[in-house]
Amino acid sequence: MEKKKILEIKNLHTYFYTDDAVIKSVDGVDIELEEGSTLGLVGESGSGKSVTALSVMSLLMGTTGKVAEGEILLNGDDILNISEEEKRALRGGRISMIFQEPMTSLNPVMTIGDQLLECIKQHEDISKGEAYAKAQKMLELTGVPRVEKMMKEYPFQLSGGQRQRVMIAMALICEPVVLIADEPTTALDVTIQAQILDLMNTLKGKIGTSILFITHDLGVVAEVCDYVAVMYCGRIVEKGDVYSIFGNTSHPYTKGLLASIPKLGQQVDRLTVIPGNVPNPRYMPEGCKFAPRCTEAFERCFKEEPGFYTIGEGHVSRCWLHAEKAGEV
Amino acid sequence: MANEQIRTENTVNGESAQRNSILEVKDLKIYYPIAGDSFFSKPGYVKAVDGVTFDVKENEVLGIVGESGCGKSTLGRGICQLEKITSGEVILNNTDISSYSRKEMRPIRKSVQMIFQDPYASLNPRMSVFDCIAEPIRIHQLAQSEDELKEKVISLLRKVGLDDYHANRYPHEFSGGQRQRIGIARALAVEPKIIIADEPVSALDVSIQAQVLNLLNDLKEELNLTYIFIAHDLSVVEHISNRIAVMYLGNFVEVGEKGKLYKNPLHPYTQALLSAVPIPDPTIKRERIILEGSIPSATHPPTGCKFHTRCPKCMDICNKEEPQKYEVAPDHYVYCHLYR
Amino acid sequence: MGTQENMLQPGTPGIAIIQEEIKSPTKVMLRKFLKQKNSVIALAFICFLVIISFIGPAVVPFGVNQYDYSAILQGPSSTHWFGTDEFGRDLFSRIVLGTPISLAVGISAVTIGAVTGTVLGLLSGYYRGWLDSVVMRICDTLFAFPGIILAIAIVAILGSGLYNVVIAVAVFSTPTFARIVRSRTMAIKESVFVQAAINLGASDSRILFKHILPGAIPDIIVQYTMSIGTSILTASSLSFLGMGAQPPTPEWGLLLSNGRQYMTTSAIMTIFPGLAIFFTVLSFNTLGDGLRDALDPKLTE
Repeated sequence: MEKKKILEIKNLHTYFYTDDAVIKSVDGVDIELEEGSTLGLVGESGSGKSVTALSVMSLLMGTTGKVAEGEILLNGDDILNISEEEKRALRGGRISMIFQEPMTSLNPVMTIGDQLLECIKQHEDISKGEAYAKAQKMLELTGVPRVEKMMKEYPFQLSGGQRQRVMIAMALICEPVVLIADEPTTALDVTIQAQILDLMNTLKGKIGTSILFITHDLGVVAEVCDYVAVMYCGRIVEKGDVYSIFGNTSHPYTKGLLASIPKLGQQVDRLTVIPGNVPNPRYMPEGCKFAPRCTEAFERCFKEEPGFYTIGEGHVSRCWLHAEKAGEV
Repeated sequence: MANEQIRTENTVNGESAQRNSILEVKDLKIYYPIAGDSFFSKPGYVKAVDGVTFDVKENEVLGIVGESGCGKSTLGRGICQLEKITSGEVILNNTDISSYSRKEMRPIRKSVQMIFQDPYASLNPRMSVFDCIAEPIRIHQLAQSEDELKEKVISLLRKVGLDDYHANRYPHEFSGGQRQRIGIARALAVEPKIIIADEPVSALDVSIQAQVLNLLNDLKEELNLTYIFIAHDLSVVEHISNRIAVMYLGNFVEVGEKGKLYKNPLHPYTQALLSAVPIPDPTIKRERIILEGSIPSATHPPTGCKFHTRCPKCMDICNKEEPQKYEVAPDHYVYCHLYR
Repeated sequence: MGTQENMLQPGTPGIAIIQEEIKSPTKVMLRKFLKQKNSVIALAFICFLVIISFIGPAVVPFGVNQYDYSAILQGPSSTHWFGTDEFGRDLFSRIVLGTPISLAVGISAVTIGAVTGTVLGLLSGYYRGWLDSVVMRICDTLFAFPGIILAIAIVAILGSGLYNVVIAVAVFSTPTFARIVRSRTMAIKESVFVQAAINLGASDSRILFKHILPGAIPDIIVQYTMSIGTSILTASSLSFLGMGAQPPTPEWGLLLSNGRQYMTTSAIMTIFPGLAIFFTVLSFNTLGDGLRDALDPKLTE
């Protein structure tokens, strides 16, 4: 039974054009977000995960970045090759984003209430009174105490956790079909993180939003995501549902990542380590981008980039090691 | 070989109590004065560290874990006298260094060093890596000649896993993980006994974190170091520490060996903290203890036990009296009225 | 021990090990500076001025005080490129010979101001307390006066002459440097690497000279070049008013003052010295702009 694909990113290439080089931040990424699910986009710095999100939201204007190739479909509609007006209508409306640093994403000189009202006004044509009531209700849903008071406060008066709740309220107030969360809990304390993740799950159920959750924290992924896509050097290296990815980890990079994080209750003297560093985007190696750091690499890996090979139902890995075991995808 | 044996013994039997105390901290308080609310009111205080007592044993790793605002970084910096100590004692080699002047601290700096959190800010961008690592050697005159200095710097670079040719480069040419290694080399240059690591891996990518954690572990064994490892990431602290202290709003709430603390957390805050850490295994579903509200202000902390406003097991006495230290099991202490 | 884990061995197939040349902050800055054509031209012009300061006397066609009553108030000609003044002296030669004076006055005044200001700024920014209050209040007082008024006041007290002009300009340049260096000092003092240095046992003087001052140098250099422009203008203004150089010194301001009486008949007597001042000050300001952009930390990695 195929669930509807609410967001489809097809063959996305986002490049940054600088004076001396073209930096291929995202180089051929395919992602499908199923309706009502949470997809975790995992990667370390330089993997291109944030740039992917920015490309979807068309927020690359003003930078040297551009979508060089690819298609992005929201519920079947193209959202890349549309006018700026239409894009603006989408943002905060049908597709919404929350960022890592809530302090810098909230306007410091506007009250919380005003910022929420602004969100509503952009996308809905209702009276101010109705909008205010809606904003208050949304804030209540996020579990913020003393909602009335908070509507009149400024961002600097709130704690990190409270600001992030406000951001979530702002993002969900127009009931978007897709929510992109870019490291929403990385800057928060672990107890607050737990609250926020819980909140996101609850609201997802209530509003029916699908979430593209970007993070580097595999623990968080295991907690909240239904599907996972692992990125390295602008490419997806492994994709699948969360149980397959953790239970049957296939790509050497994913394996390395999982092995290198310390886990509570585990007693090891030394952590298994992925040797080397992420390559400089200006000097990308030939063949598989992970090969120079891969303990299982062989000759073919350094010459040709592998395609996707099926490991299991909906689970693929981009590695020559799996080429023999399965047919090409 | 002998080192490994001792290590295994101690981990298995939990005999850290047998080792000597290399540093003792007694009722340490670090308060920051802040201006009062109005022109006429008395100045208030931010009670960043509000009476902390503990000791650190030779060659152990004491992890101090807590969320933002708990005072763990301030505590670490206070021990090094990078923050002004309001009251209390810091005893190193049987001498209380808490009120030492800058001049008196100079020789002490050779025994206690620090690694900082931000690899991008902790190195002077205008100094080459060589000068950076050579600085402490020059300050304390630990090399008799330029050649000896050069030898020492190169050997330190190698020790942290970098190459000779890196010495002439500048910090901006290195990645976060490499810069952190340079910071470690700089700290090792004075041959310290104790290293206070203040969130050394928090700003690094996951795969680089593992490299640096392994490096710290290897260095500890090779050079017989003692660490105070400060972090907010429980998994990281649990991995590298022998004993862990959990801190909340300026006080320790629980101190114990890592195995025991994890299996049997006593303080409600520790329990909530552990339950909140996401586990990278989707098949494990845990009952999460969600704490109410957020961390109270450090200028007007709650009366009695500071945690009582959020504690799921709060009792009447909790907002009246501050809890004492109770030893619930050998070497496992908790500051909570539940255990009187 | 840690080497294998984190350093790729050269020769690992598939990866290009690029041994990039050492990019010290100075080299990075130079490269950025050279990209700015205007500033490079300005720098070239200034170098040219410096050269003619030295070789001027050997090269000029006429002497500085060479009277020639047969050729007074003449316009530009093949013998007198810039014409002559009321005594028949060749204006071109006088302007050329005035170059070292303007440059010397400008540079020495600003140098004294920069050094004094930097020291005051470093000390007040680092130690704060009463020293900071005193220094800042003095600077505030000096800032309250427009530069030229202050310079006039000082020269009025000390007496005319180029040495006193230098002192006057140095005095009014000092607070600017003190302010800039002080704020930079306070900012750098809070940075983590200074804390690290304190933790390593560094003495105050080591921190001031090895950590803080190098961080303030870019600001100082930019301000220095900008100030030279102002300094030359002020010196010329003072000479114009009769309080600086005295005749027959061919200082440009004095030449301007001289030419004032003959504006209607022999305007070139004011135009050429004026142009000399204009281009010199413009060059220093453009150089300063270029340096500021080259040293802008936001443009570094």
